[in-house]
Amino acid sequence: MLAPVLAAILAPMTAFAAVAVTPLAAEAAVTKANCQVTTVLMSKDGDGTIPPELEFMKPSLQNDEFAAYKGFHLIERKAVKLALATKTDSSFTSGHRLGLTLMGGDEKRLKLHADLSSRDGSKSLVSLEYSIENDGLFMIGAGSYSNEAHSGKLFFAIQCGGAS
Amino acid sequence: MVPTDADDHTLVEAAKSGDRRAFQLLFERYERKVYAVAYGFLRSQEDALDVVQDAFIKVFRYLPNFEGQSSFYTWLYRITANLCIDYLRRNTRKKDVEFDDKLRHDGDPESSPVDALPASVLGSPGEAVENKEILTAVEDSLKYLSDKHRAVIVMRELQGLSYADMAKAMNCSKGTIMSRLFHARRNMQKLLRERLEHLPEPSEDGAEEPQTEAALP
Amino acid sequence: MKYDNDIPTQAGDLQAFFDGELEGPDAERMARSVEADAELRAHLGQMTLMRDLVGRSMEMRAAEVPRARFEQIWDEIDRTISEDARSVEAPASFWQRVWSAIRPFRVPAFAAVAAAAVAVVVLRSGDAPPVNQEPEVASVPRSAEPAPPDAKVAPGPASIPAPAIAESFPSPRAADAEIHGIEFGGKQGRISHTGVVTVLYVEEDAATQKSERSL
Repeated sequence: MLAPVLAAILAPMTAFAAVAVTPLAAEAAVTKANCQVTTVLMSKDGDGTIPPELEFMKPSLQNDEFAAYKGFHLIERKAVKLALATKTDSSFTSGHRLGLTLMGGDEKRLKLHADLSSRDGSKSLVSLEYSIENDGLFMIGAGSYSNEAHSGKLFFAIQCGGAS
Repeated sequence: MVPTDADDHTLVEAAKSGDRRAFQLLFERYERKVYAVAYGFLRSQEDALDVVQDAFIKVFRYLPNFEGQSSFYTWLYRITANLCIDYLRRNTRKKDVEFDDKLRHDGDPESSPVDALPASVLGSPGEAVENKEILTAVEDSLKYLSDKHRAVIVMRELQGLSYADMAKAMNCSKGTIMSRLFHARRNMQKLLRERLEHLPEPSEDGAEEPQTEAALP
Repeated sequence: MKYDNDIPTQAGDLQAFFDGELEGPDAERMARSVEADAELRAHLGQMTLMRDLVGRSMEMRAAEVPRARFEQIWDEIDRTISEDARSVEAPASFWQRVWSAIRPFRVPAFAAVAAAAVAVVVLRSGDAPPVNQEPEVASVPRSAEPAPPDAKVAPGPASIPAPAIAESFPSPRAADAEIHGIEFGGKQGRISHTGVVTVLYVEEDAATQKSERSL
């Protein structure tokens, strides 16, 4: 009696684990990745329009997650080329440094490591390993930020596509 | 400026002296907990968010009178519970039958409660609380409790309010709270058991397989 | 402890023991009973499980609310308490006090004024010009209206010029990321999966957030 019960409880977890592990472990076909990192300042003032330079990520910016923000301002955009297991550091005008490492992946999914430093570079704000579909967008909200024109929160939007 | 990890007392004192950022930190610390309580009472996201807003506005307005005899969160939860109860009173549907404390669990208070939940379905407590289907069944069971029964369950299990605080919030005696809580728990167990019995079980053949896979590195 | 008389004493005592409402000798007596009676222990276990389940199910719901909703609520709270502060700081002017004083008479007064205005209009309509007379302001043909600006994409000048990028990227695919391991640098963070994009929030120290609520 207990075995099927445990199976009922464990089944979703094991199925999830199998999906997560198999493709990355089995096919390490990707050895390079091209990424673009876009820093966006989101502010509470504005009329909610998405400027043309951020049009490419409009579905994400219009998600409920960012419903509190009415102004979207491109701060910077960088192209980053990654090689397998090699950390590539990029500096941003905000003062942050972002280290990206391609950990593996295939034509569908990439596994990456990201390390974001504080604005003064003195410490790591977050260090994480994640996997995401090729060309999926991953965002990091890095706290408050102001420039001459706007105040709000700064987000790093990381988009990577694999290449062999 | 107070650090973000300052304790509640420090933040409350700073907020009392006009530090808006300190009050915001208190809000951010408790926003989801207060929401969970309000959602438990009201079962509607929008209504629960309205209560979160009203609760913190009320807290800020009464902050100068808060002398710290109870902890901040106990005070906050008490205010939240009062707002939810007021809300339910204002929006009372005519469900007088459901308000009878004794109804629903087939009445025999002497019956053993131990077999009320199918322990075999739940597995160990640790496994049960990780299982989303079980948690959804819990939420569904709460939905079918009467407003009064749900209120005592939420106040006690979620907020940890004392019987005295609950009695004050519900404007009744401690004895009534005891009785109401007793029947509410019985009803909850009954409703939950009904739902858990319908959880699908995998076939015996596949039963061992996931455990084996789970053990793999 | 005194209960309403519809529950058995032992069940009531056990519940009070579980809820931490028994004190002194009563609590000690019940602790001994629980230690000696497997059925009571099982009942306590069930109540503990129920408490965990209720807490976790509500936490699960709370975790589904996007952070932005709470930010909107904070903005509203912030605005309300700012208004409270302003109303305390600024004493009411003479006219505000007069306005408050006539509060009970406002509605009937406005109703009387409105009724008088309607009466004037009705009486004057007897002198109205013929119905085929050209209106003083002609409506602009629809085709002549200026085209409304595209509401979705702002054409306006960005305050910061769009930087060039070497390669063009496809539009991001709607996908959630899966986090395999994470370490926050001192301050806590939060992860939000939306089905379109995964957002990770981190915070710097309080000092660097000083300008946060100038938003």
